[in-house]
Amino acid sequence: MSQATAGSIAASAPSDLRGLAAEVRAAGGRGTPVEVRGSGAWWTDAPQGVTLLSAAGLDTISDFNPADLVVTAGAGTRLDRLAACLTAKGAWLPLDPPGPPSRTVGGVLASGAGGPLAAHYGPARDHVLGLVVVAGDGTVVRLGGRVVKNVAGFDLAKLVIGGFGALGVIAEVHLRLRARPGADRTEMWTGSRAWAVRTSAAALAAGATPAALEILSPDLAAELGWGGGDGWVLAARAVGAGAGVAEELELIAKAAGSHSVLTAEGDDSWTVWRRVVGRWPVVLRIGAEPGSWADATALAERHVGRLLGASVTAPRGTVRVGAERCSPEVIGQLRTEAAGRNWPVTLERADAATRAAAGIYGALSPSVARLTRELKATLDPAGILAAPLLA
Amino acid sequence: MEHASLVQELSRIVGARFVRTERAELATFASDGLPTLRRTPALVVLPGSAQEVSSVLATLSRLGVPFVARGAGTGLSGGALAESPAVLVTLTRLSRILAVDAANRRAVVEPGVVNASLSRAVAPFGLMYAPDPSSQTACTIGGNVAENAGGPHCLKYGVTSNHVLALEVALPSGAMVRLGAPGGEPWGPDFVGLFVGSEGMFGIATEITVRLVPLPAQVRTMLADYTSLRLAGEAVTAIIAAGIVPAALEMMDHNAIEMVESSAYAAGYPADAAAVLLVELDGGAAAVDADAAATKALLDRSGARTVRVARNAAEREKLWQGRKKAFGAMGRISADLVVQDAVVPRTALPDVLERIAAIGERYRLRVTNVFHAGDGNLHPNLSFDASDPDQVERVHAASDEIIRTCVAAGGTITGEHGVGLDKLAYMPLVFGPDELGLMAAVRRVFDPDELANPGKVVPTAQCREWRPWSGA
Repeated sequence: MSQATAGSIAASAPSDLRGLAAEVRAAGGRGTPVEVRGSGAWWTDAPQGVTLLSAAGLDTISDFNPADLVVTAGAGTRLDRLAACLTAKGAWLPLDPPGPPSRTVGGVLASGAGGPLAAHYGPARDHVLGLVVVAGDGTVVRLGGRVVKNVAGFDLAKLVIGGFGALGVIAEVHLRLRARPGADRTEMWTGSRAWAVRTSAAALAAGATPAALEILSPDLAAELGWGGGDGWVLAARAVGAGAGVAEELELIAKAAGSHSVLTAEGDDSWTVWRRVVGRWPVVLRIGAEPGSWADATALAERHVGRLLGASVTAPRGTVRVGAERCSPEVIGQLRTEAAGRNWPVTLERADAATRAAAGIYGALSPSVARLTRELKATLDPAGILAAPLLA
Repeated sequence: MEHASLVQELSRIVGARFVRTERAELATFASDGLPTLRRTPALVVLPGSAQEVSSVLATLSRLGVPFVARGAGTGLSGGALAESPAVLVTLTRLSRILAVDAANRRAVVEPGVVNASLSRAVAPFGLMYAPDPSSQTACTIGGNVAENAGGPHCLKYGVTSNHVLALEVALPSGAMVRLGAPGGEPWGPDFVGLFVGSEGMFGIATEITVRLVPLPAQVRTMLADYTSLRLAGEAVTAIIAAGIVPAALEMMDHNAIEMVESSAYAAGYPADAAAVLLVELDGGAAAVDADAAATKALLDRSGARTVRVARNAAEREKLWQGRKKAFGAMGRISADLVVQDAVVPRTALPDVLERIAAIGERYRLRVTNVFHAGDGNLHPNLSFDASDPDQVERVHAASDEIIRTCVAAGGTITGEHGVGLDKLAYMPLVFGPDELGLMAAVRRVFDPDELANPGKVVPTAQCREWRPWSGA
């Protein structure tokens, strides 16, 4: 077994499924907990007493049938490498989580994250047809399948996606793809927060269904160079046939009531968005609603203090905020108040100490907390998979 | 526990008239949409509120009595069948739409709300509920959640699982739990995603928050007819590969066309065609115009004999009529009908359809294909007479071969009807003992006593016992 590095930390890095399962079993035998890493770019440190297990070696794209728009890739496959392979054959994975393009498929699915494209295509879970997973006892299970519609058995893959590696180690994924769109255009408008609230509501009320409709706080917009002023920015991305793209963007322009300040073709500007948001040391994801994103952003600001930025997937109401640092106590207070409005707050990213003290999920109802613990005990009976789901 | 005192306890909760025990009444609940199986429950209880559901389950749990939840009973896999001593919990009285929040594009409904009535109720807001199973005028949202129901328009819009944001669930113990949040983000693991499609084995959803989507500004429907199934199948792949996402992309084979055209539902399909494709595009006017032009060109090039584009709502309705009434037309031809459900990779459709035709011939059965071609979701329908044991035997054998053929082609045993009882024996074709054992173990997190819909989905004989790690 080779030794490799994930970030700066030594990790065992098996190169295939059998090796990965053996590592998990060995960790169980030693009684030493493991945390899984992909590229090491998202969670960059390791908690005390935890061995890192890198899935980066499982990076084979083993089965890609462009006509069926389905691909099978190892969990360690980098998103940029996968994208290049898909693009060459006219296929597209509309999944744009924050972070550098070197992030791995497995890491992204483990964090459950989506990005701006989740507005139309859903978060990570909606792209997955099936998973090969190593459970906490080293058993390899094959969940779901390779076809786009499938209701055979319970949908256990949903638990592993967004389970941060604590409910099973993702080894291989079967993904649903789309055909690469002919046209792909983004337009941006700028204005006050109140304007952004009105505009996003008006666009949705007018029946807009763009690929992305993302609202950015002034500091994030300025850092990206989108808009150029100190206002909030509404960025709409439409894909498809040229005429349809223009029509969709016109609908939003009408809601915005002004000329767009910037137009971009393709996904380069969104790659920049992913890099910048991916640099935030602390990232919190708040599950608000389309009509309450501004309240959720304000609430985060009130608790966390100065934010590095906020990015809102308007059609879903998902608010992502970044901070330089945030104490577990503050996260707890934010979660309690957000829970009063029925908004879950997921700690997507922080240093190991904060993750452990705050837990990735928080303010769960006692019954959901109990289900989570029992589920964990089922999938990882010896508690070998260390990612701290609950504080 | 004596039957009489169980009846008494449940009557105290829901009222005596909502506990049904008469043999004749129970007989009406002994089957669902699957004609080959019948099971008679010990009794039927019809709670009228979430609180009553909770109390009923708490009582059954205390007494160790198993139960099966049921909506409209339109399921096609025998999933809502209950065999005594199991009690049938029928949810049709919980039929209120609790809230429509147009600004946030969502609605909150009770499980007994009929699918089509939700779309009707939200249409004035310019919204619709996208999943549209063929039984949508009768089936309930609660049943759709249990089965993760699909429908023709799921090609573009996704299945039930993509449209459920949050749930209030009565666990089999009677305890109530809220899963998910109205914005669609989970509180912890994605329990909503797990619950949808769990076929009533994790508890009963008593309140369902669903995502609504805007009614499309424009809809365009066209029909292409082919002299070979293979050409039609290849056209399906060509459309999807071109980046066009039709709202629906349905196929009917020659037998289906013939049945429809010789019935009262005749839709004007070319009666001699080997297959027709029904393609629907929706969205903004310009997008639909562009996609329709591209689709028409693809269909023309694909070897279609004719391509008809509906010019107005009446013509569109007529083109859909044949597809929607196909099952009614089949009912005219034979006494009974098994609607099979399996999925294959889209590109395998032409080969698999030929193999299915050969299977039908070998078993001397009329096989009619009416299905969601864009998803690769096949529905081979077998016509037969259930009173003839020989025919029943041949239907079982042919179904078995069809399912094995689909799995061998890289597909799966069910795309939208569920496993229920009907597909139980096929589960080992797609899952090994470890996966089946894990499914049973995860189910016990929600239902430790295994009281909810016992005996469905997971074939217990094929399960590895999933036990804590032993260090061995």
